Amino acid sequence: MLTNLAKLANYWDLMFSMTLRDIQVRYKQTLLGAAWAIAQPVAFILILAGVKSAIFGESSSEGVPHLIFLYCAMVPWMFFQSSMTFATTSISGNMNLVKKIYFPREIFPCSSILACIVDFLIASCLFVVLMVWYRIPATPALLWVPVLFVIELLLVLGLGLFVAASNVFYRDVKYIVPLTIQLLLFASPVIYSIERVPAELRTWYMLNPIAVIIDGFRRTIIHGQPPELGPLAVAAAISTAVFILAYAYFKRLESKFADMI
Amino acid sequence: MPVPIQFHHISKRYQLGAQHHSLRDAIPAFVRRVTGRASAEELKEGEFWALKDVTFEVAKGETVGLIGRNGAGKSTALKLLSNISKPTQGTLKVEGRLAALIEVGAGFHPDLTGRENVYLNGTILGMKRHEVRALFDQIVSFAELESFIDTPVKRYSSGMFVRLGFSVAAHVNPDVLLIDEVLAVGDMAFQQKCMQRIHELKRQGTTMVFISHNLNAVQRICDRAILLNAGEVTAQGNVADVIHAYREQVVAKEKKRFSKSVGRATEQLGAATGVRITSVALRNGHRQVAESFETGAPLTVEIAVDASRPVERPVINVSLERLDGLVCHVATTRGRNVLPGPLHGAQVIRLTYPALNLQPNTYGVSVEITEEGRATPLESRKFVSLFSVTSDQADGGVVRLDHGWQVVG
Repeated sequence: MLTNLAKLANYWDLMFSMTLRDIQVRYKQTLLGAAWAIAQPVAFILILAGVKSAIFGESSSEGVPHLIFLYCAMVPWMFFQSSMTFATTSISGNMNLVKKIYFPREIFPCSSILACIVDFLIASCLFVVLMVWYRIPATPALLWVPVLFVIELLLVLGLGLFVAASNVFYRDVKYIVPLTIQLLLFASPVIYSIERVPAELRTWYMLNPIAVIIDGFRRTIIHGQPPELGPLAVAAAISTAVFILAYAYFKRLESKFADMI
Repeated sequence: MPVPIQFHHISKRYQLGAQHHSLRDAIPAFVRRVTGRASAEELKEGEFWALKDVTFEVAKGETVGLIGRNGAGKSTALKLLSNISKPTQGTLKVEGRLAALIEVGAGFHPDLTGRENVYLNGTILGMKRHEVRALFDQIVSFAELESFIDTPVKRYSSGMFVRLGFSVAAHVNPDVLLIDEVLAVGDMAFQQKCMQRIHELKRQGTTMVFISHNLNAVQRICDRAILLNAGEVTAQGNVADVIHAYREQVVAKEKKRFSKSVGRATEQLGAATGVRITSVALRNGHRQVAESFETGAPLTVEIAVDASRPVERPVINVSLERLDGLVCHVATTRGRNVLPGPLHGAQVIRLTYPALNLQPNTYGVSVEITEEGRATPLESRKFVSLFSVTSDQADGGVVRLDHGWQVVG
């Protein structure tokens, strides 16, 4: 795996070009352009916040306004969701290239995910504005955010490599992925607070690395607390394992991509 | 002498038809694979060898042409060379920076501008971004697209698209360049430019593998040629010899196909009008049926016709066409009073060329029977017979013109 990663370093320029392509193409011929990176999560949380206060009659969650409570989870969640979506078809949608020119194929899913990081960063800018607006203090706990992000990135890269390769062989994957994402949305504290999860289920619930990561974002940013270290260590271990296994799986299948028509 | 391309005993197996695209087919197949035996040598149902024990080497700076009919395995060989797919058996080594001119503009994205695509495609072909930046103006001016470079390529004409694609690829400066039938693009002037660029790369010592159906281009560019047929090497070596072998192979194959189709009387036209061409024979100067003729030697075309109704004022056209579609000569009886009507029953018409002044190549004979004043032919047979022309003279072109040289002063 290390030799593969070393080889990949030679292709940094290509990775950059492909990422740039994905970003440019995503917002070409749209009126709002990159503002969609913000508009998408914002529209979603406005709906959710509306539902929460109008139907459930709650004015706040975990003691903070819905808007910031939801947005804080929505930014890492959107990164996960869009990375998975774009990674799934990153190879099968580029078969013309796969069949004509050789370069390490992991560049396809990796550059789709890199492009999603850009969206993540744009969406984060608005979050900073919201923090100032709602007077959420910056605390040393914010230093955990990069750690949380790296764990999420490892997980996303691993899953992305897995679904991208699988979708070349079985187009079923393309339908399974959105379903799984939907399921995970409800199995993670995105639209609700982790406090709502019954204590006896909590151990099982926290085996889902996405749940740990999203809860971690909320804890560190909104509440200024460190994440729960036990579950975080487990999540980090799972994410690393997923990445290593998926990369090996990907490399084993890579040479067969071009023969699939 | 370094040998950057080593292609040793390579075989490649492909599966015909559907593979397992959905899990429902894949799971039983997986179970079979685990429980049963899987052998590398044997062909399972629906599999075929695209390449079978193919061996060749290309030395540094050498240009080798791969020729053969469609499906002979040329593109498969190129795919293996460029590492796009892996051989089933055999060992393959390619040294140095490799670039493939396989499908120009394959990496273009229609929504991006010409400029954005040059960077994208350049890096896909193995350049660094700073290298693309350094060559950018050169690439654009080679493609003659200075004023359109910031337009999305989806608004390009197909010619502009291909020009930009070729231009990027031609500036990669690789150690090993694979070229697959890219010269069939663009107008004449651009094709000329592409050829010049390939010659330039050749002079710079680039090792090249060239695939083309354009045998004239192969002859001009390549130092050596390899003929593939059904995945196997059938001839290898001197370009002229290999091209000759290829032409004979084509003629033999077309002959076989033609004799089958005549037996089945596939032509609907003759059946409908009642006028049929029953056979066409080519004879040499000794009145013997032949398939191969020397430039300048006599050729006789014997056409047997069967007309079930009288054709009052018949006209027969015979054209000699090169396989690339160039019509070299059309002989007609129209206005020459050589074929007095009516044409009725079984008759044989003979056309003689006392000197067949065509240059070495493969030609097809097409015969058409019509009637004075009639818009559509009564009977028409395209490439009813094929022949090859050989010569020991070194002059080139389409036809042989009588000529002489003199040293004056």
